[in-house]
Amino acid sequence: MKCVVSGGNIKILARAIQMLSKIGEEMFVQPQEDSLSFRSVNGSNSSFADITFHENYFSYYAYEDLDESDSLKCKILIRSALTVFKIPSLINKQIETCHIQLDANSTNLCFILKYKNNIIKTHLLPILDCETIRANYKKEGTVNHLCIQPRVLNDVVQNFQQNLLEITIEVLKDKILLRNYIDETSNLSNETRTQLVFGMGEFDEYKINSNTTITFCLKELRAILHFAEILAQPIHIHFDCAGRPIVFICKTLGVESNLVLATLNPDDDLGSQSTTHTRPNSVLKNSAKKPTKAKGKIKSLSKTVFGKLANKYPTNTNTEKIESSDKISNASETSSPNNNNKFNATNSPRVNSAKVIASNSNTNKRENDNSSKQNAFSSLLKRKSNQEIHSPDGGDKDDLVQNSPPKQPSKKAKLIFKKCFQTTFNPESLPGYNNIEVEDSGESD
Amino acid sequence: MSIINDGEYKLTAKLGNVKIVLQLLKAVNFKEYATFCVSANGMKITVEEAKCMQASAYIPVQLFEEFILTEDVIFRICLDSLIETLSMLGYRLYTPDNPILLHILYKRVGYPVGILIERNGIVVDCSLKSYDPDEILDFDLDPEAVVNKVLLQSELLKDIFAELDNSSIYLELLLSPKSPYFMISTKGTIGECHIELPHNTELIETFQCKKESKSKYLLKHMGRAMKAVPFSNKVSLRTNEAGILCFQYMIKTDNDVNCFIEYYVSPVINDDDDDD
Amino acid sequence: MKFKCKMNDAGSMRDFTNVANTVARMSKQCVLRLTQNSIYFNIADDSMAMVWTKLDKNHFFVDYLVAGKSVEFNEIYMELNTGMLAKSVTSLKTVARSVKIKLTNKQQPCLTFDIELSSISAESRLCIHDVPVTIIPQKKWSEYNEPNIERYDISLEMPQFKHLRSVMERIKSMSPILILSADTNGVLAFKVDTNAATITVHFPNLTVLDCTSNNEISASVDIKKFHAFLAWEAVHPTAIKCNILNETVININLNLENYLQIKYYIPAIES
Repeated sequence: MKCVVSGGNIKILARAIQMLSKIGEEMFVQPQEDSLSFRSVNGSNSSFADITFHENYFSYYAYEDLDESDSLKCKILIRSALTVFKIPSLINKQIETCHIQLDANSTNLCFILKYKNNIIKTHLLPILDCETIRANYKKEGTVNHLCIQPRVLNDVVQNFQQNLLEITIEVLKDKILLRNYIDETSNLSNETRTQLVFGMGEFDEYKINSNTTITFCLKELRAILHFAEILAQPIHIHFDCAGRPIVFICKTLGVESNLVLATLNPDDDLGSQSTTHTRPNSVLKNSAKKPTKAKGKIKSLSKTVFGKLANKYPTNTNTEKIESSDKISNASETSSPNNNNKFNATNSPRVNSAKVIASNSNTNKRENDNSSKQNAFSSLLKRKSNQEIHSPDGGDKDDLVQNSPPKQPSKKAKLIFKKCFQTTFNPESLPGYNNIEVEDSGESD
Repeated sequence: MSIINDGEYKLTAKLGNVKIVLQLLKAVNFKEYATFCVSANGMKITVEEAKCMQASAYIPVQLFEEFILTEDVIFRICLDSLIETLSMLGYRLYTPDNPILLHILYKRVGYPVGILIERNGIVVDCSLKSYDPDEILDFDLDPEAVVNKVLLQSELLKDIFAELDNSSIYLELLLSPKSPYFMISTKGTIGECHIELPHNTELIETFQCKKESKSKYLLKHMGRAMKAVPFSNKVSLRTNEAGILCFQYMIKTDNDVNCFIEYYVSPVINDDDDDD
Repeated sequence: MKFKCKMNDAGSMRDFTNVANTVARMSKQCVLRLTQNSIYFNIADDSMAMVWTKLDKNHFFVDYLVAGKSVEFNEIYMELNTGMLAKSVTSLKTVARSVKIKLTNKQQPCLTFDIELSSISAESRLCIHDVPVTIIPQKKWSEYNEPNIERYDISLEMPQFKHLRSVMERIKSMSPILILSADTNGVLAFKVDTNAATITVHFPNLTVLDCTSNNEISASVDIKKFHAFLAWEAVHPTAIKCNILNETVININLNLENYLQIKYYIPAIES
């Protein structure tokens, strides 16, 4: 594979690598006949990003050896890729073209940069492995679909602490509430609770068919916002409900970036929540207890438990059925399934339940169309409802910042309590406790 | 402010352009202490590390507004403290109409070096302990012994060093009469990088290559030796048979005085060939 | 116990944010004292008062209400994390239209900031931050009193921030101790001693506001603590005064049009 990127497009390439570096440690490079994909997944498989550059993004693109297609896909360290565009300010000023070259069975992925002052830099990035990664997720037909300018979302997200790990979004018919996620085990006196309300008027598209509350990682969202900024295109957000992945898409004619994030899988015990709205998906959950073939694998990420979404093919690549697939996320990994994970049971049925949602999506769509027509009116209505929030006689209830969705009792708690049942450590029980190796030294004046 | 030299001082000097002095000193400041040799030509400040790297900055006598030297002097002082002192009155805001005045005073062996800077009435008075100088190695490249020589405008090297891969321990320099002519390579844990420089553009003034030479240097040393790139006008690279590399930078001041900085870097002798 | 107030003036919100940020740079915790006329941010260091910031209620707030436990003790003292406070008010500097600050009880006492943010669409965004606080009981209030120093040996105006800054940035890493001295001629001198050098910086021609003797007054202080006061440049004070009690304490007084006052105390160390 050989391709050439030139002019302003080099900056996009550099940002793409930067974005992927915020997701995982490795970058999967997959050339296809008419496009080149860079992908990354994080260590706990809870976030996955794919940036695909189409033929028209390049000033030259040659896939060449079709027979060798399998040997072309490769995996490199993100850190290696980052060295290619170490100083972003130079990109516009100095670099004229960037060639990317990947030969079958080569041990290096090659980036050649041509500078305006006739300097030529050749970066040889070692290939770690010949494997690729893919994720099954649906980009269309989710219950909820939002579209927003990255700058707007960025402004909103700025209100949260920079080091915040997870964010909770509650979507309602006419507005969105964002909260920092605080799990129940953490000490409330150590954290600021922040809640931000913003209305549907700030969105380019706003189709909410089911009020829902989802929690996901903020770091990755910030990464795609940074990337979307350079594409200068709105971000499409697709999601169903808690526990199911949320997909962010930002694309131009030449580049498409997808970010898939697992969302926090809430407790079955929803009664304990202080959230006010009802959860329609609880019905679906009951109706779909049928076990599925999917080897669901969930891993926990930091404090939370996430649905698994990445799909790895270490050797063979299937053709691009995934891209068009209406199938629901949640899928298999060829590596050994982590079956002792107790959240498995609750997650697998979702695969079926999600189908129900998918079949509903047609009718939903019609409703969506209506709702978008009503936009003009609804923004007026909305302002009214906002005023209700502002009104002082709303009393203390309006002050209430809701709790984050509950989380499974942490392993740590179990570990701590386990110790309660162990016998107290007694040094006298150690063998040789009474042996005196050296007598106490006498006190001398 | 004026200083009366009653003959007690071996050196009294006065200078109005602190900014250039700071640039020169900072470019050689890879060690805490430096040796100052003062002669009728001006000042030479030398810093050395482990006998394998040496840097010297030259402040020519023309740069001084007043320069009274009764005999050549040599002393060693704390370069870090001197740089901090000279920076105290905000050299970045330097303008010819609001200059920082610098006075240097030295009596003789055993006495401290007095530094006085003044601006807008604020006076910084610094007394630096002087020490006996170390012996300075003579790296001087005999013009006869020079194998390859490149004279170029510093501009060409400007962005190169900033982008070098710091995970690499060595840097390899290749100079050759045939392609690829002029190449810098690094090989780090996360990749290899080859930088081919042009040998025949207008930024290259001289490219004299008798035969191919390929030497390895510590990246750390090369980093120091390229510190003067951003503010210098020209640089000459010379190597000898043994691979010793000399960078000589020329810095033109506003008053058309030329200052120089020189770096000598010893090559790393390879006993294990890690190319494969 | 009740506290609420509102800010809707861009200048006040900016000043408030600057104060919160600077307080956060100086210490992890601070004590917020609310009285009928002013609010105070106090930072204590090793149980010695260090920073005393007073914000005039009339300038900063509207709808200001403080109701203490009783009429006799009609004040509220609370301790809070300065980092959380600073982060919560960041938006006040740029995009906020107004903010309501109140004391709330949401599972625990919180200082709640209801911020109305501007947005691209017609409607405004509403952002609520709950910063947890610890209410300080009345019997402990006296621990947070301002040090009472009747008269200093010398009071003089301070050199400009930009001159101080370039000097302090250099000397702060050279030595742990700074010797400050001032005389009746209006010369303030900073001196540091290191193994390799002795450096003295003289700031001449400063106005002497008050002095008790003709001798040179000096005090040795922790250089890091002295350097820390430069952070207050952020609030753009209109007047800075330096008071020295010989070998005892240095007090720096910053004032912004009388609605914001900062008193910064640095105890002398024995030299």
